[in-house]
Amino acid sequence: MTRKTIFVLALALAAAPAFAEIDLSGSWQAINHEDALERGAGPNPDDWAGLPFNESGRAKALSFSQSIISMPERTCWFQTQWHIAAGPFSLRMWAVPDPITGKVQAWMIGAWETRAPMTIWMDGRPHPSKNAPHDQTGFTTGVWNGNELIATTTHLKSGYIRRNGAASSDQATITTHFRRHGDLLTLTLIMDDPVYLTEPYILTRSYNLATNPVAIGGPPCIVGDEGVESGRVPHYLPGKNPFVDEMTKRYGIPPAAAMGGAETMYPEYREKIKAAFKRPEKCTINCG
Amino acid sequence: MKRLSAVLLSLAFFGALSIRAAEPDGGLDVVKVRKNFYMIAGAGGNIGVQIGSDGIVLVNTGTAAASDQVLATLKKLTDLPTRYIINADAGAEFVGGNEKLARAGYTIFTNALGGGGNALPNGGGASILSHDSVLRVMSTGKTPYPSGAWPNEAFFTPRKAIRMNDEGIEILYQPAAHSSADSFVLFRASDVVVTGDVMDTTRFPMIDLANGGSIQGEIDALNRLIDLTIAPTPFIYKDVGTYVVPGHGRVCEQMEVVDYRDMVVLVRDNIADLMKQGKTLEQIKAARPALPYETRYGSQSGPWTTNAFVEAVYKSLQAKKS
Amino acid sequence: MKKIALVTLAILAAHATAFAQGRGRGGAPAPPQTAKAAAPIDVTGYWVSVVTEDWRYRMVTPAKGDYQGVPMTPEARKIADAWDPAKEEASGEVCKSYGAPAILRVPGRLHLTWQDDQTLRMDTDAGKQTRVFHFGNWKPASGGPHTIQGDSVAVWEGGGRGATDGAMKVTTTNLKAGFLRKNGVPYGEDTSLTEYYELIAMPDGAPLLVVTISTTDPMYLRQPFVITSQFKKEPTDAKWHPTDCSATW
Repeated sequence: MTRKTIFVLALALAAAPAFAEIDLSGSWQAINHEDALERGAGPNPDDWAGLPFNESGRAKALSFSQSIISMPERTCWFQTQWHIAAGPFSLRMWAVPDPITGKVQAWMIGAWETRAPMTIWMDGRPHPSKNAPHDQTGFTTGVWNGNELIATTTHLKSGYIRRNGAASSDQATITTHFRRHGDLLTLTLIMDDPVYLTEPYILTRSYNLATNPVAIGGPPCIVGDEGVESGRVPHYLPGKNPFVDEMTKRYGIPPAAAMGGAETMYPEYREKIKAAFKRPEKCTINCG
Repeated sequence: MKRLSAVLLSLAFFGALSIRAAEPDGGLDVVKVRKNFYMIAGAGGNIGVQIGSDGIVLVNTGTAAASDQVLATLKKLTDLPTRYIINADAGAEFVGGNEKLARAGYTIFTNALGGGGNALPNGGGASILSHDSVLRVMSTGKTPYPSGAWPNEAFFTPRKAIRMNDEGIEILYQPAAHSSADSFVLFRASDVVVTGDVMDTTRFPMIDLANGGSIQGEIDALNRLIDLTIAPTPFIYKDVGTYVVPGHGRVCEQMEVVDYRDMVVLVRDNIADLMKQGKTLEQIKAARPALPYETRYGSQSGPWTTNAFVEAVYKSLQAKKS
Repeated sequence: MKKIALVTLAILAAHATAFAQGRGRGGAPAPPQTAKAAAPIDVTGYWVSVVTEDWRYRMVTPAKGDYQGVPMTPEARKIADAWDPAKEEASGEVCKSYGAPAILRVPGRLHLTWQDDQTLRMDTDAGKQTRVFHFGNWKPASGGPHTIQGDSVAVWEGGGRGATDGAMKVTTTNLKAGFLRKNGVPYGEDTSLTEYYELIAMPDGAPLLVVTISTTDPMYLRQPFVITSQFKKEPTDAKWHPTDCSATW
């Protein structure tokens, strides 16, 4: 093929209508204005309001003891991709081209601290078999809907929906929608976990395009002795969780609301708790 | 440049991982675990398959009914014959294919006593190796297996080691775990452990009290399994750790074993606490001590229900007391 | 070279023609579509809040001094620290936390309809508020009064060609001072609002309305306050439940 022919062909292709995909690459600074406490220092103990728990999810959360992360087997137990929603950190994204065709083979979200790097495969490959191992990063494929990137993650390890014991299972699927408006990026993350939830759980997060590069990299992890001997499993027996009324003490929120459930997500629930809610005179903890 | 290389490497790695599962093969799912190690799921219990220049080493053989499918699947992986079958569990889903798969294989003792099939061990077929407890289960009891299915190499010690396909293979007996006939099979170079039903990601562990199983033995076995595996520390994001092929369910790493062990301990503790309060078995069942895990591992029907597990734990704890 | 140039021109001309043909073969250009006709997504209907974020700031009234996440200036903090719910109630100005910057955080239902081909109307049952989004060349009257809902100008962005990624961008100014949160976190009269209304498909295909809200207030916010609210679609008005504004609940 001569150089001239190639030029003509390239022009023909360039003049054709382009698929509507946008560039998501860059350093995206997290805007932690909503759920600031939950994403930063961590949620209050036993605060599961707004979580569509089923009874197993609630029972699992109530059995949770924070000492579990001091188990030698769990010292290096890092977060699933849900930590994009549950944590405060920024994102660095870049496209990886296929070395032969130049087409975007994958979008990457760099690792940070306790979250593994995320590869969003764009080449139409299928998800692995249900018997394939689940690794730290899960398995994610992506498709474009115009300028919206929709990523679907399966093959996750067990993890947390909230860092106060609300668990996510290894059967969960996370769908992440990426929408960009200029320098503003909004992610809508939907966790579908039939093991612990009665319906999908939705969180939305926003980011600003930053000129300063967001650091990426997962730190190495060495297991140290944190006082929990190997083989011991810290947990609370049923009825023995000492924090079930913590949200009441701190914020006047009725215990039933703190225990979560789908009804706690919808406006009519306000009528249900109105009489039981006692607004404290002043905020005394985690006030911002 | 370094980072680009790392990214490309990781893409290649994850790309390989993602292609590992072939389309289900006549109902069987073949998962490539390592370069020379596979798991076959769907033939009853999971089957571990090690392939090398010495031939095939199988851990467990699935059900008798699935043997033809398993043989056809093995043929797609390699033309080499099966040389060893190792039984890690005496359940019908793990030993049912022993006879057919052994017969289709080829003994390693080919020069024993010169020509003639009758002179070769196991009729010239692959050897079947297990702890003696498996042989006892298969050869005694109400409906013993035909002798062609029995392990022809049984050992009495806690540990047996062989070397096949250039790697050490350890068979480690686990007493009184899900039953009296459990072993772990550790492939040292492949860094894979095959477990039998001590670990089952699809349901609560089936504690077979009638055949020597116990809740404490199950917990001890899971703790040992955790010790046998190595997590991908310190480089959590770069590497994977030891792979575990459970009796049923997907390929696991150490963290899944820890999840499973924690579940067993938590349910055991819940039941023990209720027993301490003087509750009867029916009261304990009604209290739903396995509730945190019912949706993940439980079942209301079938061969192993949530209540059956609760009852087995209860009786095992009672037996421990007396 | 001459051949290449001719071929190149031909390709470009072909594409130009195709483009022009999409707009009518020769003659005068077709009149611009109305906002309603041009809408790349359909945001009309009844929508219910799904409160999974900032729960204790939205489903209940937070305590005085509870300001987590809001990038307040010292002036804002002074005002918020002086919040007196009883006084607010007594003053009769009980809709301060139902203004445009905050209304989508109030748990409740929205009803979006086309008031006319260029105007989209939003009613809320919580606080019985109405917002009006003007498309086209509409401009707010200069020097007009500041109101609780302000003046909103809307444009469509993106979408088309079978994709459902379009969005409605709404810019709101001329706001009366109010509260970003019910416990007195203020915004002032120079506040402006930029919102993006988008539809996301849930795993079961049902639409989710996601609204990204960026509030800029040079007096009371150190930086734009950016939050996102989500709403599920409801088939009817069966759960529509109008309630009055409240300064305390």
